[in-house]
Amino acid sequence: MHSDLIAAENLAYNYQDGTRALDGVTLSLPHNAKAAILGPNGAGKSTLFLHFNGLLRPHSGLVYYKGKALQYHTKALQVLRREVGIVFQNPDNQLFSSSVFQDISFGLMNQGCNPAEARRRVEEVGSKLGIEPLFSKPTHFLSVGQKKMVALAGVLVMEPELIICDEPTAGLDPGNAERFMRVLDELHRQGKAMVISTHDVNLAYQWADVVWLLNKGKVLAQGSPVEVFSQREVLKAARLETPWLLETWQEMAALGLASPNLPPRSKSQFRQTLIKP
Amino acid sequence: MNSIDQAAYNSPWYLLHPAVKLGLTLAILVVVLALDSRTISCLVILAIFALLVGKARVSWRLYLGLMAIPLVFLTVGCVSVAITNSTLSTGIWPGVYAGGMWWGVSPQSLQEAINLLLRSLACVSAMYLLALTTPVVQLVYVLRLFKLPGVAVDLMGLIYMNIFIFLQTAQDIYVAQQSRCGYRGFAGHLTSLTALLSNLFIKNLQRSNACYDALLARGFKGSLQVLDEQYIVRPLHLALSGMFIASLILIHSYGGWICTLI
Ligand SMILES: Nc1ncnc2c1ncn2[C@@H]1O[C@H](COP(=O)(O)OP(=O)(O)OP(=O)(O)O)[C@@H](O)[C@H]1O
Ligand SMILES: [Mg+2]
Repeated sequence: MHSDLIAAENLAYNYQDGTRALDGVTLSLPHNAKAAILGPNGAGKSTLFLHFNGLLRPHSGLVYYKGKALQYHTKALQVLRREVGIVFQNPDNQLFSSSVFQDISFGLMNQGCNPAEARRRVEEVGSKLGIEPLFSKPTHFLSVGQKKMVALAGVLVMEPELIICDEPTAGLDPGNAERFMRVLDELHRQGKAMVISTHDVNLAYQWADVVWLLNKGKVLAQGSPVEVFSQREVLKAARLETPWLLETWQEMAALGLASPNLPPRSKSQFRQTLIKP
Repeated sequence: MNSIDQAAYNSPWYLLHPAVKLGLTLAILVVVLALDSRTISCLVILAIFALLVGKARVSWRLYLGLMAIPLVFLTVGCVSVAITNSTLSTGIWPGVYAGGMWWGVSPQSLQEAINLLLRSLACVSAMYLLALTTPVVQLVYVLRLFKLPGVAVDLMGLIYMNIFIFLQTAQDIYVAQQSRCGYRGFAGHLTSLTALLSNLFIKNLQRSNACYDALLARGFKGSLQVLDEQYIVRPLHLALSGMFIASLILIHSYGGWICTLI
């Protein structure tokens, strides 16, 4: 656990009204890993994320970042937040400036980036996400999906060590969702770690290195996508379906039509497992 | 408010340096107020109309609509200036006798009222010249250039932004209530409206907490540091602005013959 990038140990958190949002959560994320967290609405995903950069303080349990337990004084939190970036589920809560360009630059300027470099990075991320046309629009006249893209850009430019995205692809059209995932993958190749929450089992299965299943504030399962998604009972408890790729492969392997050794993670791998009659 | 803001963001002059736009507006205001001349006021009103509609691609419908609002108020105000009283009935039209005085409109008071109306309209035009080409964020930027305290400037930007969100939230709640049969009858109006107001308050409180969290997550340390847009300053614009102001003053000083036309 202490060799991991971030880890939660026995986290518990209650909201003021007494809702137990986290109830003994123990999880860990290795360096340079891609994690997906799944679970029904109200499972505690967003609450967990707020713990990862110290916005919420657990009532019991600890969060470790790079092997050290989080400290909650301002200085330590500022350092932590420079390394752990979080994109909020609701972009309206994140966009504070009425200028798209300025909003995206905010985190960078706080990191002490010099203006010329900051400008270059804002423009670069803007073009990767295809949102330059929005730069001269005010944030309050954007559509929901457009706001989401801007909010994502505002954190991606900071290039944090750990990028946390709360339902990043919800509300995005397929093109934008793909563009965003491509930028994430690029950051992953540069050695960053990332966690996304999603309700899309297929995305989680194909994309993630680690899957966490959460329900009612408790961890139901964690492990590689194949491990987690092979546990039917657990999936049922979390009201999730088996990813179509895995399910098709399992059925074909049972019929002897696919090689039963290694479960495929992508369409092309799936093609390779097929046994030609 | 929405339409002005939208026009400003879509203006072809969006990227011109806001300090120049603000400077021109202030210069026009000063000239109009200081010279106090009908000719100049008319020229300014026409010139700004031509500039905004012709060059800055503001639709004339929008512009006339925007001008109509202050026009109503100004006309009402100027009517009271036009009406005067006198102990003599000569030179007063229509000359109503009341309370030991003759009431009506005299040539001087009429002139004064017209002067006032034109001058006010010229000032309003100048303000629209700014408002329709310069979003508020840019004005906030100018204030920062002039070394206003950072907290005040940050607050201005946030408040401005939140006005829109506040209006949007209120609008969303209102639509949601109406779509589920709110506002039926007198009692329905009352319950729906109280629900709207109290929810608006709660929602905004919650939102501001969430907003603050999001700022912290991106490393907020007490001041909203952002990159400023790169604005364009063209010598041509400065020269044209200067010439416009200078020609107004010249016309006022030497163009007496034009004044007689108006
Ligand atoms: N501010 C709050 N005050 C009280 N209870 C809250 C608050 N925020 C969340 N909760 C409760 O905490 C639990 C976990 O909420 P959380 O937002 O973490 O869920 P989630 O997994 O992100 O769900 P979703 O998929 O809908 O985003 C829920 O039961 C929710 O009702
Ligand atoms: Mg959530």
